[in-house]
Amino acid sequence: MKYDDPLLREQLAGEYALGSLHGAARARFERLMADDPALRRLVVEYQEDLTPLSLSAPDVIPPSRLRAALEQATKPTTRADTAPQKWWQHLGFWRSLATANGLIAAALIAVVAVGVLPQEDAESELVYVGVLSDAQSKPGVAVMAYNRPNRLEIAAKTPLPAESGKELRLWIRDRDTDQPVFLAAIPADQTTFEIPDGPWKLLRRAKALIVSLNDMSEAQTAPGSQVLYEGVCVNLKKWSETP
Amino acid sequence: MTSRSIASQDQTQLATLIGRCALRDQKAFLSLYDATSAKLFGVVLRIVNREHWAEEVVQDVYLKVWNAADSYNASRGQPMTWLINIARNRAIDFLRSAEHAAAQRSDLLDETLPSALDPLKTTETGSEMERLRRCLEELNESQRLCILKIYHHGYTPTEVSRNDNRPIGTVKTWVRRGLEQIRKCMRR
Repeated sequence: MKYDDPLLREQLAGEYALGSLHGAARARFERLMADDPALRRLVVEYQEDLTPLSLSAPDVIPPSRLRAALEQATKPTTRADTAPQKWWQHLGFWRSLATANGLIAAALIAVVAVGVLPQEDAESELVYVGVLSDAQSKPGVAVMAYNRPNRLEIAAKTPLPAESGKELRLWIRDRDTDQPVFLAAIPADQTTFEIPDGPWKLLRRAKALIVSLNDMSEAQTAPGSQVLYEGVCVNLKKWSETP
Repeated sequence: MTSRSIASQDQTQLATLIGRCALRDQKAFLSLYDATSAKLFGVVLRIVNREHWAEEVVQDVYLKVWNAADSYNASRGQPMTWLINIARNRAIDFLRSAEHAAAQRSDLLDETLPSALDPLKTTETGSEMERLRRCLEELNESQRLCILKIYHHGYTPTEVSRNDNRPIGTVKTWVRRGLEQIRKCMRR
């Protein structure tokens, strides 16, 4: 089969979204999707088209024992994890992450180890964390934003590309418009760098963060075709204040 | 929680909860469960048709969400779309598992589609639903019902063909052309 045939791609994407692809055909299509971001986008478009069918169909309340079982299954491994305030400031919490996501756990343990994470009386706070995945949906970069002074730390599983005449750029995806907005250029060979007030305030509007590779001459208007990583951005401070 | 409250819920809030799940925040995970479980349980129950099976599948779905939350990003669609599709795929896999021999499954097939699942027979509002309803109106009834049965109940084209006593080629054509028409219409 010629999977580069646009008509076939459309047909398979639609059938996958509908749920009529089964067995070996579905497994083959999922393998194909894993390495083909354009095909994944096509599937998402079909899924978005059909989702109103699920949203409009009647809800059914599940038995309460299901929630209890899930609560038990996802129970934090240390008592400190349940602290309602500053839960991310406990080293044990991040250690418990290691099995699930080595990258962010390692990044944050490293941050704690060098004393960047605030202690009770420390001035600086970790305010935002982003876990960014590559085109194959594999987590590859953690972005941490600290205040006082406002700065970003980038932790990457594998070294970020460095090409002559090109630079790495960090963008937010605006939570209201869904559009990327330029935040900062990532300095070569620097994992931590300060950012001015303007970009810092922009972080409040971020529902996601994006890392792209661009020609230095390219206008800072859109990430363009070379998006390396994207992932959800969480405002820790805001959520730590949630009752 | 009603379907409308999920439909109109701030998707950014759901995305944030998923993001916090990636950070192993159990409180966020349970909030996500509270906000979405009635919808996902309904979706799964329509496919597997037995409450105890639906319970098993939905438990798997939320554990998958908990463990794969770091792979969610905006390129995977709206958070609710992502969750619904994890649930539908898992429910369909469950149906096709060894536990469900074809004979047993055929006993569960409904000849008719409940009117609550046919947008042309409901009064559900919302701009996306309105657009989809208009597009579904453009299909003939057999084509529309075939697509709705596959979507809501996880039937295969072969099962629809047997159930409706139609040639399999006809059913496959309904699906292919129906999806093409919906896509074109939704993008007008």
